[in-house]
Amino acid sequence: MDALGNSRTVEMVGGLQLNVLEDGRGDPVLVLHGTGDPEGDGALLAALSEHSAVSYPLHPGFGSERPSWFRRASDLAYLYLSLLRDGGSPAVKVVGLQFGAWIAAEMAIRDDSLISSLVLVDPVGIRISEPRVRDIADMFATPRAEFARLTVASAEARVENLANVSPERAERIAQHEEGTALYGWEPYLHNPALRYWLHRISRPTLVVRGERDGVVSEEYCRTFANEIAGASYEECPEAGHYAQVDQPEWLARRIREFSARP
Amino acid sequence: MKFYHFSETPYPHLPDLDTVDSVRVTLPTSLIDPSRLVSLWDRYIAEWVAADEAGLNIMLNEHHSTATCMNTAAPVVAGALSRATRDARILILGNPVANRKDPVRVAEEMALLDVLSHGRIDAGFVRGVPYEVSAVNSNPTGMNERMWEAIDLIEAAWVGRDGPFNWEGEYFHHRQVNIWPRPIQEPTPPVWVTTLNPRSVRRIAERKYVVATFLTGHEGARPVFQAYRDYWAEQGSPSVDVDRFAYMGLVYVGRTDSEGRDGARELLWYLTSNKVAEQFVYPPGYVPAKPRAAVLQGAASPFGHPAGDIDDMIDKGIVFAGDAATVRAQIARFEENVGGLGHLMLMGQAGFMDHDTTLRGITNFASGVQPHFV
Repeated sequence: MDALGNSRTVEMVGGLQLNVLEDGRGDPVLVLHGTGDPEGDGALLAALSEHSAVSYPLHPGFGSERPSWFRRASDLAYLYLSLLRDGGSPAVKVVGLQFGAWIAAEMAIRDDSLISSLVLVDPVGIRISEPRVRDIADMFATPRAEFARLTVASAEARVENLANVSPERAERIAQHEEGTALYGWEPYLHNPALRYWLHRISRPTLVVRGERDGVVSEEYCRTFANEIAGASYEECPEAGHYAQVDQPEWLARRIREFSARP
Repeated sequence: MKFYHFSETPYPHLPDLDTVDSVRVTLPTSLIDPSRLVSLWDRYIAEWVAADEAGLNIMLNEHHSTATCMNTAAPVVAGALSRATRDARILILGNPVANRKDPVRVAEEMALLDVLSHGRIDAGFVRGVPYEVSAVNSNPTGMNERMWEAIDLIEAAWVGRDGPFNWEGEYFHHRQVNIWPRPIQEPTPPVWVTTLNPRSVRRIAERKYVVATFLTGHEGARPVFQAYRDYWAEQGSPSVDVDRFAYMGLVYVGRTDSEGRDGARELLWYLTSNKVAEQFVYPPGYVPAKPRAAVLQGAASPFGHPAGDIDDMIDKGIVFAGDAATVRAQIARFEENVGGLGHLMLMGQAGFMDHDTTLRGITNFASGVQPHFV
């Protein structure tokens, strides 16, 4: 994240000040972050910005102010649809990382006219199983070290104990966890109806899953892809739920290649 | 000063704590022996009845998915006690309204209890400890706002007299609020709200509710009470009745100082047995990210009550123990240290403290301490 060049503040609905990091030149790419350590996205963003104009907004509630009514995934979806409309580009690649993939899908089912293609990385947001099955590992009921193993395949890249990071980084992680609880506590990280609206997405879509993702299963991600007409499914080797942490170069390349298709 | 007997109604017969991750949220109920369970509830009820007969009041609370407290529905137990007791005030402290889906239902429960008890209900509202949110699947973000919207809705439901009113708020939605029966105390049952934090006192003081704080010692209680006084001084009312201030300590009165202190040591189970798995201790959003991050990096949690040396805990005003004269002096000193208070809640049973020992503590307090604080 720190690799990204500039920070821009955009005034949005209700006086909301949206903070957007921007870098690179080329086709516009909107990257929607997930729930994890924001520093983990830095390498992916740097790789993407070598060929693209990357925008990376900080979700309101993840350490930034928001109006009190702004607390649903649909609010984020409309916010970013407004950001696309105001940006003026007719064709933006939208990349959603985990929680951000949920938001990207919520955008696209509403209006995908300004979206050129979608890449959903280890998405959450739908429900596929009977009630007693946890489709999505419970990050709020899993010890931090164990959840780190479910999300990051590389032992060196994991944050298993916040005592080992700087106070500033620990605070950013805590802010992201708070934002996740705000939007995703109940129903847990999904919208019960989203699965049934995914058919509305008409843009080329790639669902990527880290092959060692311990948070969502292969069946879950394949189901996500199968509900979107023509969507592709692919596994990212040697990667956990936060595939961008384990394999940023691989993921940046796949995003570029996939989006380059006519 | 009013005094209230309190037990968290524990199930203390647990395996070695080193062999379990947590006594809250995840502890399997296979550990429960049903005959022990029933006997424990019989005696806890009997102790509250004995407190009433001895001239003390009663306090109840509720927790969920925890062996430390088997009262999962304070209004149910209060219903039983409303018919089994005669004179005691029955204080529920409290209703965890940020975690209850339907505040109107809470208003109804308190109103019906007020009727069943012939107007003896004190209705407390609490935000709940952090580990409750996982047990009841309550979002830890926005809890203060939910709690206060719920309290405002409950109070409006109690005082309404003219048929249904509409409530479509940020968190709660009812289009026909009109509770039957309404409470019989006028204008409402007394309302209590707990806090540890002086910065949270303003909304409690504005409504003239009783502010209560638990196990913080006089150093924690005084600034909370002072914030209440300061608010009213700013409004031009420099004098606030001490009946707006309440505190809970661990309290045991023996026939001798030694017996009293032995009893208090048994009460420390409450502090030493609260083993909670790390992922449930401090959920995101329960407090702002910065102080939460500091705790996750190793700072002390403001919600812990570490057990220390008993003399030190007596000195701080967390424990009150000894013979009656000693405890009278400890309470008088606490009263002076906090600038006065009107209610003292006595955690007079915890852990393995048996029925007879608990009853002795209740009667010793009622006969030797209470009469001196009328």
